[in-house]
Amino acid sequence: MSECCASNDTTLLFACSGGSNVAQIANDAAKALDQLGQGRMYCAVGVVARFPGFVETANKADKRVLIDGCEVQCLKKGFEAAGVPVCVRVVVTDLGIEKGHHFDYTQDEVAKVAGAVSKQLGVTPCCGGS
Amino acid sequence: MTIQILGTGCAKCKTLHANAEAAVKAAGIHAVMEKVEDIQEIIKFGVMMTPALAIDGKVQVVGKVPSADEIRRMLA
Repeated sequence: MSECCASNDTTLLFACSGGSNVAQIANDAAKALDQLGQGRMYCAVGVVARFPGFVETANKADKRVLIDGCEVQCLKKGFEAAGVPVCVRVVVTDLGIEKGHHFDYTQDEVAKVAGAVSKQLGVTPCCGGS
Repeated sequence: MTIQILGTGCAKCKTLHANAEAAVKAAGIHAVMEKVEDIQEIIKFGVMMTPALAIDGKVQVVGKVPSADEIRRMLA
């Protein structure tokens, strides 16, 4: 962890939760990371919809993590539009997991995504809260 | 026998490791102690709360720290 980050720094996790396997893998990975104490899962749609309270909370975090499901990158584009910078971003399909309109996925695939996020978090300095 | 302590290095994980070592000693058996600290590997076990304890790859305890005596009974 970066020297600027104390153990109580806020890391918010935002995940795609769309209608495909990769979206639900993203969502499950964020849930797992939350439960394992790597950050706190927060409402991505609230930020993308630009609700002021959600945008404010997101901007106050020390680190913001986006897990997009696929190359459409809805979260990345939505956060850019909302003016919320992102520190760590992982795209599930970039990890070699093929998108499909089904929900047959494995714990290993969820673990792969969560592991990729965790590794990036470990080398990413704080983005700074506003 | 392999005993795996799953956790990212928190204080409870260290206590669990110490309790497991004490349990192995009390049971008078030979066991390989292994720390699993990688998030990806932890989730592969299906574990979402740490610390957790697995014996020979099978998760026995999740999200709490059993005493050395409790672990010793699991080893029997």
